[in-house]
This record gives sequence, C-alpha cells and structure tokens, in this order.
Amino acid sequence: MRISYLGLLASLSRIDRRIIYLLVACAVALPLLAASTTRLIPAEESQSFHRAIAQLAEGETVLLAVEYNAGTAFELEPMVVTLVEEVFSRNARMVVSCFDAQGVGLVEETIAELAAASGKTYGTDWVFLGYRPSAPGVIISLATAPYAVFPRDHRGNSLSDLPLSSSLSGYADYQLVAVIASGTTAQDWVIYGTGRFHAPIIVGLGGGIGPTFQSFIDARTITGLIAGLRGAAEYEQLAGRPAEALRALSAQSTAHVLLVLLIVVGNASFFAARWLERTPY
Amino acid sequence: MLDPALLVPALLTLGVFSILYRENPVFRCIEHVGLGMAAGYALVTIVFNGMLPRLVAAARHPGDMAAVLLALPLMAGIAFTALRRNALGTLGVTIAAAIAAGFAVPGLVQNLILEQMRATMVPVGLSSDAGFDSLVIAVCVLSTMAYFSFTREPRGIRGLAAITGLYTLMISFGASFGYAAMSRITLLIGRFLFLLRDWLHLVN
Amino acid sequence: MLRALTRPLAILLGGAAILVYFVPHQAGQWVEARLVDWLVLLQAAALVAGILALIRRQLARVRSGSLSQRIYPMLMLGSMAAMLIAGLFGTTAATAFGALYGSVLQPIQASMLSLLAFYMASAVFRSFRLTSAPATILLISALVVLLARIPLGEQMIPRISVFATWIIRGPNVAATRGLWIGMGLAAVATAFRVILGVQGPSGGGRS
Repeated sequence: MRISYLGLLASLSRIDRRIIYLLVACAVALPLLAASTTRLIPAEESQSFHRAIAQLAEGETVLLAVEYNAGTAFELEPMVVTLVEEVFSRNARMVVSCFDAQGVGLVEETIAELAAASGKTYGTDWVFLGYRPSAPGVIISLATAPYAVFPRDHRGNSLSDLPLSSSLSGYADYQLVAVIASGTTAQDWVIYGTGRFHAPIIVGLGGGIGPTFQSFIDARTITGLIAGLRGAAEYEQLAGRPAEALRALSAQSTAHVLLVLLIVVGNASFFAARWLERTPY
Repeated sequence: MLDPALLVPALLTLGVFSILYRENPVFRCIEHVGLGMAAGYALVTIVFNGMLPRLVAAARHPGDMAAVLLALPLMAGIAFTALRRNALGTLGVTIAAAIAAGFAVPGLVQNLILEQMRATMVPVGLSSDAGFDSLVIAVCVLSTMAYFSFTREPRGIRGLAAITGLYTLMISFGASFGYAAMSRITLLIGRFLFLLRDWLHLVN
Repeated sequence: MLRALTRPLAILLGGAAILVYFVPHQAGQWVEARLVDWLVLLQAAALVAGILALIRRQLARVRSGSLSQRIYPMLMLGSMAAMLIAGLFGTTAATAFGALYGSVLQPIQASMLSLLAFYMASAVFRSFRLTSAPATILLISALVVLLARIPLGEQMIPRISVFATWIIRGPNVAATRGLWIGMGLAAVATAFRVILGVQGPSGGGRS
C-alpha cells in the first residue's frame, strides 16, 4: 500500500505541463475576482523612499528617470503613478526623462493624465524630455549640460522657451532624483549619477534586480528603495493612496503559495521516484 | 467587450497565451508582428527623438564649434550603419567605446569599489546585534570574493572561505529568485486584470 | 590614415572623459558636453545599425526560404514598415503611430513577458531539486523570500518576515557587495584596456 502511494507521488513528476499552467492561471485569476486589500508592514527602505518625497517643499524640482515598456509596465507603473501624484500634491515640479525607446509613449500618456487630473500645466509644472540613446550620456548631460543632449523636449518645444526647463542648468537645480527602472538604467544611475548629482537618489526597481541594490542602501549610495509589486504596494500604503499594487497583492499571494507547493510536491515526487527505483520490489 | 480598442488587445493576448496549449501558427504570427513593430517603434523613436533634434539644432548653427565637431561622429555613425567593416566605422565604434569607458571609470571606482568597501569596513563585534551583523557581512563579503579567486587551489583556510562564499552566494541567489518569481507573476496579474476588468468587466 | 588615428584618438578621448570628472572648470564642462554629444550620436547609430541588420537578415530569409518559411519574416517586415510609415505622420498618442502602439504592440509585449510566469512555475516543479547542500540552501532561501513578501505568508508564519529581512540585509548584501566590488575591479580594468587600445575595435584584433 505504501508503495502505491509512493508510486502515485512519483507519477506526479510526469504531470502534463498544461495542468500546471491551469493552476497558475486559477491562482492569479480567482483572487482578482474577489479583490481585497491588506495592511502591510513597510520595510525601512520603502519608508526612506516615501520620506524623501514627503520632504519636498513647494516649488522644488524632482528629476524623474523612468525605464520601462509595455512588457514591464504593470510592475513599475504603480510606482510612477503614486510618485507623480505625491509630487504634484506637494506642488513640486518635475522633469521626466525616459530611458526606454519602447516606453516613451506609455510614460508620457501616464504622466500627462495624472498632470491633467492634478490641474498641472505642461512646461510650468512638468516637462517631458523624452528618449535619447545612451543612458550614461543622458545622465551626465542632465547633470552638467542638459541642452547638449536635449535641445528640445519630446513634444518638439525648445527647452529654453518653457518656464520650467529654461531655468535648468544642471545638477544643482534638482532637490531629488527618482529612478524607476526595470533594467540596467538604475545601475547606470549608481555608476554615473551618484557622484554628479548632489540631490538624494531614490530607486524603484523591477523585482528581479531588487535584492542586488540592497547593498547600495547600506553604502548610502542611494537613499530609498522599493522593489517589485510588494515595494510598490508598501509605497502606496505609506503615501495613503491605495491603488493597483495593493489590490494585486492578493493574487500575488496565492500565486506565491502555489509556487511553494509546486516546489514541495515536485521534490517529494522526485524523491519518491528515486526511492522506488532503488527498491528491488 | 466588442469595442475594437479593447477587443483587438484582448484577442492578441489570448493569441499569445495559445502557445501554452501547444505550438500554433497564430502565436508565431503574433510573435513576428510584435518583433517587427517593436523594431519599427524603436527605430522611429531613436531617429526622430534621439538623433534628429540634435542634428537639426546643429544645422541651424553651422558656425558653432560644437556643431562642427559633431561632423566626425556623424560620418562615423553613417559609416558604421553601412554594416560592412570599414575604417571610419571602426573609428566610430572605438570613439564610442573609449568615451563610455572613460566616463565609467570614476563612478566605478567611487561607487562600486570604494563605497562598497567603506560600507564593509565598519566596527564589528560580538557584544551587539549591529556589530555581529557587520561581522557576518564582512566575513561573507571576503568569502564571496575568495570563491572567485582562482589563482591557487582552494585548500585549508582558502577552501573554507570559498565554501562559505559559495553558500553566501546561494542564499543571495535564492532571494533573487524569490524576487524574480514575484516579478514574473506581477506581469501575469497585469494581463489578467486587463482581460477580467478592462475587457470583460468581471472585476470592479 | 584613419586606422593609424584610431588608437591615439581612443586614448585622447577616453583620457579626457576620465579627467573632465575632476575638472569643474567651464572648459572641462564644455569638453564633457562635446564628448556626451558624440557618445549619444554614436550609440544612436549603433542602435540603428542593429535594426538594419535585423532587416537585412529578414530580407535574406524572405529570399531564400520556401513559401511557408517566407510568411513570418514578411509579417515582421510588413509590421515594421507599418510602424515606420505611421511614425512619419507624428509620434504622439493621438496619431496612428500611438494607436498601433497602444492596441497592438503594447498587449503583445505585455503578454509575451507574462508567459514567463507559466514557464517558471513549470520549471520550479520539474527542476528545483534538493540534490546538494548549495541547492538546498538556495531553495530554502527562495521559499522564505517567496512566503515573506506576501501578506498570506506573514499570516501563516509570523516570524518569517524577520528571517527574510535578515537574508536580504545580511548574506544577500554580503554576496552582492562581493559581486559589485569584483565587477567594479573587472570593469575598471576593461575600461583601461579599451581606452589604451589593448581590447576592442582599435586593437587586439577583436571588435
């Protein structure tokens, strides 16, 4: 009898992959139908991230560097939305630069909608510089000579004609640098930006590279860090603006539990199969 | 649900997901359309946003020294895009690599080497939690670096350090895997939210 | 003539790029702005060259393959052409370019990347095995982080967040710090090899 249970367990390793796919789909979809939000205990890095924005005074300028495209938008857009809403609510100004050639339209549309909802004027309260190739070149240029790389903004306006950008001459004009990135741009900001910008740098990252940036928090190279959907949800809670990330966390929970179960069952099945192979009867 | 602005993206999403059932031509068609459009989108953005504004600005001030100096990389860039190896194209690649390397050096030394070393060299001890944590981190940093040291065979204390480094790396990779898994699932939630909320209106 | 110029120019420009960081004088900033100008233009050209290479490759596939093999590269080239033509008439969200991006490219890209969640789940079931001590440690660390980053996990095992935080701030910081320092040292060495022409297109016979 014991052998048959083991045989059953061992046979699970040959389960059709489509059954696993179906389980994943159910684990993600079902909690969304019964959406609920929970309260989180924010990490210290998330609190530092939020504090840096909460300390902004009226009229101060934030440099927002964004790098995501449609593929990674759902993970990073909630961070951008909360950040932009918070910056505008403090009547701070914002200069936005996009570091992904395939994300320019997406980023501009999102921020333009938020600006319109907050009653902010383009050119006075915010400027969208658009995309330029070479992240190192753009970062250095923004610090020392913005017009060398950006003679015009994304909409074709001359930067010297817009009230906000005409006053920009380099790093001293920014009170905060916020980097929201899914790829290597955050690393470029650490290498090229931290020595050139005197303002604190806060970073929002896609989950995949989140843990690797923890050492920059300890070294005080960056001031705040949020990573992945969990980081975005913590930030939404800290900012008092519960939205997409907090809502999606219930689906994230069930999917994580499913992954843990898959690992446990997969190993149990593997060892059962190995034990049966070694047993002579 | 039948609004083309939602129907087309929804059908494309389902078309992509069809690969989960089995290999099929619908998925391959969507895949190639996506690749082509992504390349086209990037090309338009790079040329119209990334290159033309600067070149137009330079053309408007032809006497400006900065505009004159732009002629060399422009010619080298055009030669480079010819896709055949030529001296001018090689010159362009060399210039770009040398400038990028030069810009990187101060930041690499300052932020990846010195700052990380400074953060490791903090008071350590067994009497306080902070001191003990710092000790663990210092030992693990040295062990990680020892693991990648291949100049001598890892025996004795070197071997112990290398093993400790390997285990430290495994803990870190495990954490990275956890976060990477979180990231992938998040992207799937995004698609399901689009299908269930924006398209089918099953979720508020 | 040009070949003889390449290496000295690399040393000159690479050296200047290092030095301007330490020279806050206006002349230094002017030089830095010019170097950035060059770098951005050349990197844009490199990206364009990459896309042109893709077009050439697809054209070759169209020419050489059978009818069934020609369909996919033709689709790719056709959709690329559609995007390029649309881009000529404006690139904002209100244009055809923006509409194509929003209703076709955006869902395809998002769906393609989200497929990875399914493949990852299948892979952890089949390949994540406790076959050695390092693999076991990796797996335990992954399980702890997976559970600790969700509210459900914190409810099921109350102290798991503390353990996960220790993993992230302790061994994880130590390992990544070791990697960053090693990467930094290697990158500085490579940067000097590129500037001095030992490695890269101007020397060493490799490009």
